[in-house]
Amino acid sequence: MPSEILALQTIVDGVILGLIYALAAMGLSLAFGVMHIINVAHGDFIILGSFLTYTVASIIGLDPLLGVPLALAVGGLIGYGLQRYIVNRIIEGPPLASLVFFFGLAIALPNIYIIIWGPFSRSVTAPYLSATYNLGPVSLSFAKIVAVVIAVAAIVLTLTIYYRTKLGLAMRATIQNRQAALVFGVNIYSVYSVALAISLMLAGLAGSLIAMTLAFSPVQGALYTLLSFLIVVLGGMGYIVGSLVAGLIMGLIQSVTATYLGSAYVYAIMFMLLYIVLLISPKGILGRGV
Amino acid sequence: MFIILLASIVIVSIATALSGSTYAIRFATNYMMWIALAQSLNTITGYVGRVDFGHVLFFGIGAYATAYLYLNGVPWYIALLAAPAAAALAAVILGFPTLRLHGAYFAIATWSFAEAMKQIVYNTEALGSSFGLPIPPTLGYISTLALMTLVAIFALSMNWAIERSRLGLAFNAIRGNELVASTAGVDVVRYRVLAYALSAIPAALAGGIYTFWISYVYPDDVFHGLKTDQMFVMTLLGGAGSFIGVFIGTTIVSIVYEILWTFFSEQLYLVFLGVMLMAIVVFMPNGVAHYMGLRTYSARRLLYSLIPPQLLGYRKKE
Repeated sequence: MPSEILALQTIVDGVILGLIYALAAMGLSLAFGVMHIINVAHGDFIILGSFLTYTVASIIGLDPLLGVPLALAVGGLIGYGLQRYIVNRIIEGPPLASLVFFFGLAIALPNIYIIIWGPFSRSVTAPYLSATYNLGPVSLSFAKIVAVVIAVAAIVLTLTIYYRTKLGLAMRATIQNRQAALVFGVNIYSVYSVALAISLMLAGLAGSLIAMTLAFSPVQGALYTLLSFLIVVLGGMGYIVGSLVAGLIMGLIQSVTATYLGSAYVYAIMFMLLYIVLLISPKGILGRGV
Repeated sequence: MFIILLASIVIVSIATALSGSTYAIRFATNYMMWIALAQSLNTITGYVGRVDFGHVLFFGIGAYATAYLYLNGVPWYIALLAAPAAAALAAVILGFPTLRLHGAYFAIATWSFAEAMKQIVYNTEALGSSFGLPIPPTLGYISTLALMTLVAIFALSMNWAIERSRLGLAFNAIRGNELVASTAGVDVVRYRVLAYALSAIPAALAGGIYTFWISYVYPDDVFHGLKTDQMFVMTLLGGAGSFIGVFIGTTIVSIVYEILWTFFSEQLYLVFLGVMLMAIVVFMPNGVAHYMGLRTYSARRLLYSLIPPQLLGYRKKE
């Protein structure tokens, strides 16, 4: 393959990967911004989305795309229930209680997946999804095209809710000043519940798209959690547009590293980057903290 | 209380060694290792209040330092002593910049560093890449148990001493509020790095002995995040910041692990571990020690009233 076409292919793959990462990271960033909780089980909810899609496609035998609404619904229900019935109770407690709570979830979930679905690495495919199309010099599988369409639609929808609706206004008010939002009549606990619901819906959706475009395994959750953090920290905690931009950057870095340096270095480079960013500028390189 | 605790550990260790049962010796060695590991997390997370999600890093560094030196002809006891030195050095180098971060940021930084270290070992040929390093059998099961017991006693004594000294006072002040602590004359930067280095030592020693015990180190085992998870459950269940509490937490989790792992499966045990952690936070955020607070306190007072304070090496409050 000529080097310019390889470069172009690498960039296109990086952008697609970046869109999926951005979905995951926006969810994490929203939860952090609104509730100041760090959901260290975020990656495990991504993997839940992957397994739900796998169940729909490979166990029940329906179209893999039906996994998308299922992942959204389950993510939303779990997020709302978890926040409303458990996390809201501990959120005013000792400062790191919610962190440790999600840490416990991050231990339990992958093992529940192993008990239910087995420890193997899996991927979801269907004949029409793996068909490839040539767009100019770049070749893309139909699954990747679908992923781009869904990811862009979800990102636009999330940003619209966040910036153009009353619910989004309530969320932004809570991010800015919890007390003031309370004074102006925002029911912050119900905002919390909806925020975690949206956060886990985005995680589930990202997982569903990962299942169709990449492979996944039950223990990969921690990796996606760290990856989402890296993006969120890079973009500025709680600033979801920053997460979108940083997600695309991260996808490109991963794709370029894998193509030109070898995939063994991808995660080492990413974690070192997270470490350096945390040290130099914990408010994120895009400069807008919470 | 402290003396009774140490005596009971030594008795457990000697009794299992005399019983000669391989199963009992394995259990006791594992138990001693977890006492050391949970106490080492307690030093940084309990006393200084920094949530360290990458504490397994020091266990791994200890294991690899020992293995690497031993395979290059260094006698086993020197290789073993190099482990805490390497880990403490790593803690100072990493801790100096990282400890400026607070709460969750510190937790993520340490976590990512443990993961990065695993990736670095994966890609280092001298350390056996992802296949790891096999170690020729060196120590018998009994001497491994004896060494592990010594490390457990060391970790317990260290935390006992911290709790009763000005050092512990400084650590607690940092946990409460760094600004106030520095106003009160505590050198915050020095003490938190010191706490991090101290916390690395028992973990690294346990890692070094683990190398000889298992006679095979590989990155997916010695840098496994699960080890950190288990240290957390033990520490929080018992009550972070109290060495007796953490000891009780370690004992409960070790026994539960043995039961679930033997009769059910490893997965079920891990689900239990996670659910336990969530339940602790929701229902008893201060740990078991909190509920025993009154009793341990009065028992301690009783004991101290019998011993002249000079013998304990600390001055009573005037």
